[in-house]
Amino acid sequence: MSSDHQEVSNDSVLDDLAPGLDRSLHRQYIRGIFVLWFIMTVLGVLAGLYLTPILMPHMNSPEGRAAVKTVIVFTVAAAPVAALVCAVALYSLLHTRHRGSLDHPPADGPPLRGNALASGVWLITSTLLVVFLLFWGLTEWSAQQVVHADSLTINVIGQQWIWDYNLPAQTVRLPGGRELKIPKELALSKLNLPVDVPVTFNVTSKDVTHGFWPVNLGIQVDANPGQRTVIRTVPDRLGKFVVRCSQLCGLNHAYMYTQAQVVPDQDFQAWVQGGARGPILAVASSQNGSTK
Amino acid sequence: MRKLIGASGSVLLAALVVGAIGMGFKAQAYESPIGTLKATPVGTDTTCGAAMHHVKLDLSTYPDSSGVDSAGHPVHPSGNPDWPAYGPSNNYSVPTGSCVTMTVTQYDSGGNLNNPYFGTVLGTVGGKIHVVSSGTNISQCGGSDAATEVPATFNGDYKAIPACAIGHTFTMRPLPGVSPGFFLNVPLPLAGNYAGDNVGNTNDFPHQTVTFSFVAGAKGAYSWNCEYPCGHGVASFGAVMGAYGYMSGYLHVV
Amino acid sequence: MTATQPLLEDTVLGPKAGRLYRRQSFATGLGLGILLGAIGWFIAQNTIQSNENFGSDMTVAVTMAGWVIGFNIGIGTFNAVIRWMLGHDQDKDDELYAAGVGQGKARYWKYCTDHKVVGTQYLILVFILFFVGGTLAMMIRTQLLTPNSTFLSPQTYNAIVSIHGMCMIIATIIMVSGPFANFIMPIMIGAKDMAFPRLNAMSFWVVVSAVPPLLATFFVGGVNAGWTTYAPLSVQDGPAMICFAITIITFVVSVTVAGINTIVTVLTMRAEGMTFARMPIFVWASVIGGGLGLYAMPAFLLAMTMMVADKATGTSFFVADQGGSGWLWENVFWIMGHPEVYVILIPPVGALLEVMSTFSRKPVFAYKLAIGAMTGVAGLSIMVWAHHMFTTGWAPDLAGPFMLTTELISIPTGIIFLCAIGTLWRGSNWVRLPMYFGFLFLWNFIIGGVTGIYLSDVPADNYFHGNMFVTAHFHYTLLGGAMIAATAGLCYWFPKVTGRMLDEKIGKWAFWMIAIGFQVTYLAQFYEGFKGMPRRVANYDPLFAPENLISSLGAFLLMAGWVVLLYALVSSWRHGEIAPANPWSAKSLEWHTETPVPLENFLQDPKVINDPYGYGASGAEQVHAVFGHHSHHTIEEGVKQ
Repeated sequence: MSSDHQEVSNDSVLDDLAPGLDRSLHRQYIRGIFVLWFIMTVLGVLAGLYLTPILMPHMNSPEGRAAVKTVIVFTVAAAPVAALVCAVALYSLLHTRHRGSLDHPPADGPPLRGNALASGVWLITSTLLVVFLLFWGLTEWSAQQVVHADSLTINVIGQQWIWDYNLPAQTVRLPGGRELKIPKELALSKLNLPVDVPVTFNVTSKDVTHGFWPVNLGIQVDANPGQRTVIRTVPDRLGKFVVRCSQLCGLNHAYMYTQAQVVPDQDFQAWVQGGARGPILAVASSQNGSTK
Repeated sequence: MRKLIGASGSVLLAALVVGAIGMGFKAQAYESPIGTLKATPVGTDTTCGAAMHHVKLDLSTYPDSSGVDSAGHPVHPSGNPDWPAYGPSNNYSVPTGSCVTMTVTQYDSGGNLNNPYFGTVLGTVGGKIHVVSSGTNISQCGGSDAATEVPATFNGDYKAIPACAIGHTFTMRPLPGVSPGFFLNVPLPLAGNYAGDNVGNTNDFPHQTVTFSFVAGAKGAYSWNCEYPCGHGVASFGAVMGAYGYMSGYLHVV
Repeated sequence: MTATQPLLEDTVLGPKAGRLYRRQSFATGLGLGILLGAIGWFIAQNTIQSNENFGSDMTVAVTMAGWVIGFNIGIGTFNAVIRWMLGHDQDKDDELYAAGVGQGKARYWKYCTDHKVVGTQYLILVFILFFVGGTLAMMIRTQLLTPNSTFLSPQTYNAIVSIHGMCMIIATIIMVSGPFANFIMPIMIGAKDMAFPRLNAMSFWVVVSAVPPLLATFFVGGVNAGWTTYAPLSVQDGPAMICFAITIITFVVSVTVAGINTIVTVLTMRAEGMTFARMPIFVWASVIGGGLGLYAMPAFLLAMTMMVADKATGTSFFVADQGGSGWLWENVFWIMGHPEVYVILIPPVGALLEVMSTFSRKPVFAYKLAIGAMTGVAGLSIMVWAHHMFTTGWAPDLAGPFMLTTELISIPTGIIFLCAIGTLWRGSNWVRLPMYFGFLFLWNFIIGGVTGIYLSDVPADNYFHGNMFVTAHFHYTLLGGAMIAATAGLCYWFPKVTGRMLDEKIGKWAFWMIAIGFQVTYLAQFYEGFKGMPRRVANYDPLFAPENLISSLGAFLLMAGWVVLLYALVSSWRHGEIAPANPWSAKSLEWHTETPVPLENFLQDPKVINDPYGYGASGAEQVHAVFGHHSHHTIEEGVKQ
């Protein structure tokens, strides 16, 4: 496109972005946008680093902490891009806004119809970011696919509108030579999990689709009628949390939850041996998953 | 100025319209003719272990929501006549911290639970319920459950009811986030035989009288429903089970 | 492209007496619809064996089908077809009558083939649907003001959540492709009308007939299963689910017809010189959105047909214990559902780029790249559906591939951002009302986009799936993004559609209420999601109480903002300042014909010589089109004679 504005012909990127612009004004534009971009990037990075752990609950498993870490990393990675969009928009509001009467259109801007370099840089940057996101996601995901040879099996049954749990008779070898013994099959309405013991949830449903979501374990899977879906984790921090239903399942969906707790494995063993009676075990409430 | 009046006037008008529609939706929630059933105080006693304020609630489960109960109250007027229902109301109110004794007279037939879990008594005082049958009207569990032993009549305290001999259940959830919450599951044995006939709404028909007690916890509206599949469709949890007010409601602890 | 011959010349106008179909209007449609519905109900009641399960479902299906067919016969959808079957075509008089000539405002109540009438009809319908959906949103937020609320029964709450969702989905699908792709787009390419004017009218009235079944759900027990109606919950549901399915099936017919019409119009009806590379970006967006709809929506029709069969006839596509699978529903649904969000998004983004260009007084930055980006988004969007199913347990090995395709979409989406900020860069930023909404779009859509990448990541999705974070995310993209961009388009084209200027003072009040109310509502919901509150719950843990209260208050402000905007629109439409033909000094063709736009759009045929973005250019390059090398009698001239 040839135009009156295109007097300066220079192969510098900046000139491409701003043909015909007075050089000092042009530097001022770039500087202004850069300052805004820098401030907002820093704000975004800080928010990602320091706000996320406050916003998200205390997690009781590596999977849960992976979710928090992913939010932090993705926020930091996205901050420069988001900040650039905001910086250009804000700059055009603050600085190049047409002042004076708004009844008539201002003079035309320069006929910039695109810029191969800007587009190319943008395209390559966003592609690299996507590759990074994918790499991050796949790494985290494959780390979560480890199947422990010995794990505590818990059958989870979803139905309208309650979760109940079935603990089959089993013996789980723990590291250090100890054993966790479930002498006979137990039906549970609350979920206690021994700390640092790999656990396998076999999830199914009696009627419609439910979503088994032990919130602070950072894992979830649907309970499907006629199917058995499996999720695994190793709860590694003591504390209370809630199992919720993450899939709309009808009338009392909102009321479908279970109180759950990660407890020391000796306490768990004692509770099981006592027939899993009584309420959920008492554990230091400072670990309450709902607050920190 | 005229613009300001116009704009705020439209917001006001919209608020009125939305409010009116809201009232319409609120009115969709079923309320029985007698409204919320308040528990009857019976003084202070030790039914729930320690000495505490004791209240009573008398309920029934009816196979036929179009009928009237023994006191002449309509069970569930203007509803679907073929559906079972709790009566005389689905909303109850009990004082917080009191010992509540509920008596449920169960007039409906029944069969198998979807999940045997709900055959177990949970959350009542002593983990048990007291059942009295009106006669010997229980037949054996059929089919694959034929081996299950079902007493000819229920009479006494039970910690569980065979999963193939359930009429309805009274299952109530704890309030979210309130600890310790109380979870209640009371299986009500079936009345009449399996064919579904010989059941009705009054004392002329076979029935089971189930009595149990529990301690009312923190204030709030506790959601209860029946976990026996007494509806139609998938898992027999469609129709009546998906319709609020027949086999579901709130226990208001006030 | 050669200009088409004038359709109508020197015709004496006015309705001919005595022809049945000239008496057809919305009223006859309503009457016949109710009549056929009632007949259907009567027959079904008396013939179908009353099985407790299926009897009422079949009855409702027959009744609703009767309504839809009856309404469309009554309004005149099938007139032309019936006349062809009887062996004669419509004559010129009939065509004129169908185009609404000489009928004044009554034509808005009729089966009118004028694309501008259809566009205006759509606009009104979109307002109505948004206010129905908005009212339902207010119900939801009122219920959620406090943790243990019993304002609504759980059944009513679920019914409201479901219909709020579907009503808004329907409204957002048609919010730009209805009013603007019909009213504005044909003028933009210099066409006299859409390629298939009768199908155009059909696409509108078929949507109208789809609305009553949707609202009828409230009177037959309500839809319990959310707008996604996951099976087998929806199969378990009552007859309301049948009404819902009839709505969808009917709506898909409309979207398909409209999509074909848009594409064929752009392919065949462009003015002389309007090459593809000279088409305004909004035309491209309409074509891409419409084309994507053609791919996506039939899956919805298929899914809902299977649903009706499962419920009313006892098949078991989705019932596990009879050999079906809920995962089948989820797949078919999301094969529709994910492209569908881009069917919603792409046309408003096209409108937004027009607004950005006009008010920055600059060409759309990287025009061809923008087209490529929209095409890329559309293409990728058909391969991402299973990211809605990461946590369902279905095909865990596909988590990686679907994570890849989903994250790839952020590349073309990023380019759309580049085009927007490139257009702003160094522009003479003329901040009129449409531009306010333009800036709001950028802010909202950045947040919607960034939160989207968390959800695309499987390990993070294992925390966020099914929780309020997802709700906040898609409201940021669809309401904060698409709907705000559509509002920018509405404020931009308002003078052309209504012939009057929009009152920007009231509009700006509305803008600030919407902007602030929106952020408060949905930032609070992000927080709920971070903390782990599940979606679609009628009651919640007191743990989430403060942010729910804040979210509800924000939602009330947001709704009030939309009401104020509606007031601005209605009052300006009735007695606003008369708009000049080209209030924004914009270059595309719709601004270079009279306001109000005459029948067949141009008094003189345009000849396009450049693209419509010649801002800052010199000489002939700043001119988009020249007029007058062809002249013909117009309808108006005909009337005068």
